[in-house]
Amino acid sequence: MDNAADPPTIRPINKGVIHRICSGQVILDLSAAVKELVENSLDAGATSIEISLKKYGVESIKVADNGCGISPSNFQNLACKHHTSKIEDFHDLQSLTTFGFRGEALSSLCALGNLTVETRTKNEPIGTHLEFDHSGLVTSERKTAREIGTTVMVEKLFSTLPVRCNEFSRNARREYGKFTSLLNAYALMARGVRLVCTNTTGKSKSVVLKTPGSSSIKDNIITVFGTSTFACLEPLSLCISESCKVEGFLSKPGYGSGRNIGDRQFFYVNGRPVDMPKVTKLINELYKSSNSRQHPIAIMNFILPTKAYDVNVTPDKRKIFFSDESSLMLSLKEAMEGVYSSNHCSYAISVMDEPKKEPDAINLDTVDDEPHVSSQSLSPQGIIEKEEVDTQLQTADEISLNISREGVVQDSYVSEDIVCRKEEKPLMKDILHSGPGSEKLKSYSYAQPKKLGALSRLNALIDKHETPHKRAAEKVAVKNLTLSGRSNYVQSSLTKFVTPIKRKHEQSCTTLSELPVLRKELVPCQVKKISSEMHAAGLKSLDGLHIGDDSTQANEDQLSEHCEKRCSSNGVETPLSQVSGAYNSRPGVENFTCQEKASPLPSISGLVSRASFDTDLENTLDDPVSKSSNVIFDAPVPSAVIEICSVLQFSINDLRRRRICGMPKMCFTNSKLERLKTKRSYAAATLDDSQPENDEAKAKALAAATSELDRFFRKEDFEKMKVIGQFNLGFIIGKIDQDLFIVDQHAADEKYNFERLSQSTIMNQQPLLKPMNLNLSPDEEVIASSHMEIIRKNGFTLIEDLHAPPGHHFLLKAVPFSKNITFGAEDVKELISTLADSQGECSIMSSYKMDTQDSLCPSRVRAMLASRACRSSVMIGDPLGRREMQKILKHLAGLKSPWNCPHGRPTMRHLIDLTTIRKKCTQEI
Amino acid sequence: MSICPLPQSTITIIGASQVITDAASLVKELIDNALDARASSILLEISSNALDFIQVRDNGHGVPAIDHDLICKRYCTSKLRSYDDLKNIAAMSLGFRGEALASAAELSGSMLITTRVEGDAAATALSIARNGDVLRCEAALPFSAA
Repeated sequence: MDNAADPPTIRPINKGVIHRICSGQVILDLSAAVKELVENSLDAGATSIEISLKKYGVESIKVADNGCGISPSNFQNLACKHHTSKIEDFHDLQSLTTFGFRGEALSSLCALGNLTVETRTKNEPIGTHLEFDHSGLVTSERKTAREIGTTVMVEKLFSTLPVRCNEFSRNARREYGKFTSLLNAYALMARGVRLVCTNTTGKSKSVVLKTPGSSSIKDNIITVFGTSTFACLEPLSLCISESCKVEGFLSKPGYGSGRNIGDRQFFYVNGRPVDMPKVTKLINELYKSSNSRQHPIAIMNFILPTKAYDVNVTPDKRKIFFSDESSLMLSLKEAMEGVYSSNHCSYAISVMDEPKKEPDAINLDTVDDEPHVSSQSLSPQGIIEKEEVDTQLQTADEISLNISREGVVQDSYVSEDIVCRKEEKPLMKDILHSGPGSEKLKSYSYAQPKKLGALSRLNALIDKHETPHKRAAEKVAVKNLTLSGRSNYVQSSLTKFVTPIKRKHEQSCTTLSELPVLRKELVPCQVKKISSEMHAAGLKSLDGLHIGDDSTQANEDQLSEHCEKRCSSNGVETPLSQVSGAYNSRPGVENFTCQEKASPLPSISGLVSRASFDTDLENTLDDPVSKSSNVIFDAPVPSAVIEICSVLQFSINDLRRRRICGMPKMCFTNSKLERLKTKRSYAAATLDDSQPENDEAKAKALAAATSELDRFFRKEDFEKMKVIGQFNLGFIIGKIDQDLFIVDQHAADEKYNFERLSQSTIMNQQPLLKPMNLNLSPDEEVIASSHMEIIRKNGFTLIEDLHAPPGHHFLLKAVPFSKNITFGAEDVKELISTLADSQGECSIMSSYKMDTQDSLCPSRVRAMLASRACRSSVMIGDPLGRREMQKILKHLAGLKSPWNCPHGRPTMRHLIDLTTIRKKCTQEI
Repeated sequence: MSICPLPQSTITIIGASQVITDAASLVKELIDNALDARASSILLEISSNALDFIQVRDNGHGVPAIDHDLICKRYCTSKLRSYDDLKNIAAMSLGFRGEALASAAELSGSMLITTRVEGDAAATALSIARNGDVLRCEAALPFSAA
């Protein structure tokens, strides 16, 4: 420092200077200051933390909590550097459970501002007010009134660091913005902690943030970001290794669920908010496969043993070193691929305007009595319903029935039940009210919900089977009735289980109460005669009940009086419901025929199951269903059946009477539900309340609720899409079940051609006469030598000369070309820099740079393929025949990632759910 | 748990691991030191895992014998004398806190410094203990950088 020639001498720095220098490192800015104080409060076990800023924190910062307080013996050490109550030794860091551990925060705040502390523990009758000087010594101590807890106030932060002080007052608002986003991170994760933050400027006081201290992250998200944001999220629970779990929430895949910028991405390690650039990058890349233009919202808490990571990296503890980061990232990637796979996407359903008034007739009763019926229509709606089914699978198990095989039947009962409880769900309304007016009336119409899902497939199937079923049904009408009786038994026990939950919300106990009665009557004979088939009863009930329906419809004369009554109460009046009624009867009848002939017809049952449940469930179902039907067929003895029948007749009478009595109640219930309908998010809340005793079910139900309106679309579904027509010479309108989709014909064909070209295009290699010097920088050379394989696969040949001077290690010996385009040194350099980019951050990401190719390629190669794909594709404005359109859709099903064209345009959007239109019509009538 | 002073060893290791977070940050500190010593040539030798062995050689002015005891002591520096110097430090030198070598010694445990100033007949090799004390001080062959 003195003279250039003379080496300066080494001397210790003055203690005060050290203190100031180091304090400035710990407390960088406003957010760091508040962060330290909030963390202290959380470490003290506070359940309420109030942060008050004056003039964005420039004047003062005050953090008051109701934590354990500080006992008087600690006052002298409170603000001394490296004095802490949180660890005793360096090794304690391995098992650290507190946010802080260095004993630097308060001493640093002392050095940078004027610190006062008010505190009281439960052992003191009165609080103490302490003032500290800049070195951390107590300058005044007096008694003051104070609840148990601690208040820390810092005035004139950074007054001892002139540069930062100026900077702070100039950029107070920006600092304040940073601070609020940091505070959000704590507000989201702090469960059971009430967090209030206010800012006072002049005379006006504004509340920045206020959380009620709810015990779930879900509620915190709703409080901090609002319900609309929460609706875009789905819960995340990954087990990425034996010791590491990830929990939290992520944006759903698909358009409109993400954010245009990458804010709202919060990462935690055991609840500590941290920065995770690699994870951030990973989820952003993965999310692109389903939503290329947006960033996901992410709230992810990594739960892992404390000794598996190091937080003592930076003073603000935001950076984390993991002991085995690469394997952690790899398993995280694998787990996340399940969430954001390019094999399916979910889309929000475009919903027509909500109907103003719900027709009063369809109601819980439908559900209570024949839930399985609508389950048929539900399950085709896709995975989400399946989830609901799963939710309840366990609980359904608790019912005394052996569900192992016919679990499906029961699941669907319950799923139906769930759906109904959160009736505000438009989807459900669709199902319930889709029918043309007539059955709105009194209908306990079983058939009505059925129509929806089964409709399309039904039509075909019914034609085929109508005749045989009629004949058979005539023959065995009475026996059919027995079957339906048995099914009622199954249901009743089910309903019994469901009842307590329902009651809370829907007051449907009256309607429900009839069922146990029915059950009692049935039990004796059931037990006596058919115990062997009890476990199969679930399945039978499905069939049998349909028969009940049907026989009323098709074979009225043959049926007994009771049966007729039942029929009328079913109120199956529209042609549609007749159809489905008839359809549903068929399997049952045939089962019965089997019973008589003692020749099982598993194939038919298989058919039933296929028709009844969507493909998602199909595989799992087919087998058990046919199996169980086999079992049934062997068991029953005709005489036994008849006996049951007589009992049953009585019960049906009874049932019907009670139903009629229950009517008004049901209507009332319905209107109640109507009110519930207002908000989507409310559904989740309702659901929660209804099952407080079962945490797991609660979580799963929450999952179901959050995905209320979304449906999953798997790329295989493109194949199932039925072409309706072409729109505007540019778009294909397709239909799957009741959903209309619009497909961009050019984008779709272009993507297909692109994937085809990138598979089939062969890069020819052109050796160079004279190897070209690449002039790579040293770090590029390191990258190149470690990625020779990828470079070679792209058609470049490099030769390495280790003895050459730096920058000349690599010579380009051959370049790739395709048709008239040749690639050169610039392309290989670009490839290397892309590799460098992905290597530095996270090498496992490389495969995600391009969504269609397994390896990286230079951008010009991609551009070339994209441009060729574009030119060879169907253009907007080309008229297409039905077959051509179908072909385009079929091609999409076979692609790796059919959701976007190479330029990022989406290929498919959901247009409308037809049931909403139908519902509208219904209402207009 | 009451508020207690942390043992000195804990304080130093917590501090040191923040200054030197990885091999790259250590190399950075050593290069900074070399540049601050007005070196015109710096030689780096690093083992392939970047942990076993890191050597930085420069032809800067060296460390005079009088400074050897404090060379690896925390908060001892030749670059800063008072807090006010901080205003100008950015133009004068890259380092200023006196933490780099102390942290390196703490985290390595077997640090060796060989230095020679103009006028010395031979270089001096200093073995540094974890706490920054000089364990051994012996004459070494002078070397030339670059």
